[in-house]
Amino acid sequence: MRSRHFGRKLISARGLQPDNKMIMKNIVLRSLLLSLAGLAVTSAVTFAQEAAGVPPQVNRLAEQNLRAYWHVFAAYALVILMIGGWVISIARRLRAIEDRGVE
Amino acid sequence: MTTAGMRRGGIVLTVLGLAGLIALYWMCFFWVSTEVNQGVVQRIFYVHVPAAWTSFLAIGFAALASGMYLWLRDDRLDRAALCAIEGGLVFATLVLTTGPLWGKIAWGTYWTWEPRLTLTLLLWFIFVGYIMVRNSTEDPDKGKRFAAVVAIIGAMDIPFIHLSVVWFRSLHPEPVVAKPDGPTLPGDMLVTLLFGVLVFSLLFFGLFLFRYAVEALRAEADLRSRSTA
Repeated sequence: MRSRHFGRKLISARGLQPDNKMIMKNIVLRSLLLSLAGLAVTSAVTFAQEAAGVPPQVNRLAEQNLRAYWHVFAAYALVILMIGGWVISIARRLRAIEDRGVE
Repeated sequence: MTTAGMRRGGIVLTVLGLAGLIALYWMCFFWVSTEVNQGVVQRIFYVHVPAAWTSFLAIGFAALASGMYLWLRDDRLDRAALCAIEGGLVFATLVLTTGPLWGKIAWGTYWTWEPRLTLTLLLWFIFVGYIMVRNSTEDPDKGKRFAAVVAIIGAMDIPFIHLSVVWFRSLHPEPVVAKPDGPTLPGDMLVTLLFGVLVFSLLFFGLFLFRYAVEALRAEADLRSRSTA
């Protein structure tokens, strides 16, 4: 309790409320995660282009129009998002029922 | 099977399905050969077709459970139909989002009102309609009965979706696997597609069991709260 109180004093001395600090921490963490996901997708696009083994002239065409690659990655990302969303929604409903049982 | 057993079984199947999904993505990006005419965008096929197959499986399963519910009036069958419909909605949404992403490159447009696309959209509305009808009546039993009829009628859409490309002049490619003279896909593409179908089916059954266990727990909790009140 004492150390938490001391921490709050320090935070308010720097002009940030404890809640604001948590929000900032969340924003930084989420931005970091998003950047990592973006990096993974970008490198995956490059790998896929190389794995496709397209000849140089086609590669030049692909550089002019990369939309097909992005469409493929969007489709594959949608699969993960939809299935992940369903898993999360089932897990949340399960937790709500378990909480009801505890009450 | 007990509720706890279903939950465990569902989690095991889902984990297997997710591991399979990673393997499928690896196959799609690094193993299967690129189609000559369409190029890389053809790889959408390996998630689009399995999603379509799974949505057909879901409505078929829901129709079967609904038919049995109308006959036996066992609430477990209604719960099974509801869980299958929810899964079907997820996979039908995937069909309707991944398909247009391919269509934009192959046809130059995200959407066209051609028979197969229109009938697939109708199937999506049937999934949504089932949930709406089930929740829209004051008497829950009435809602369950009406929804069961919607599921049975919805299953009749499947043969029309499959045969629409044969019966009508259509932009959508014709079947390359389920056809009378056998599959016309090259070996590696067929293996990837069939593996995709297996992975999506595993995910569907895993999450179906998990969802069913949750629905059974909710029914138990409702019963308990009614008896205490």
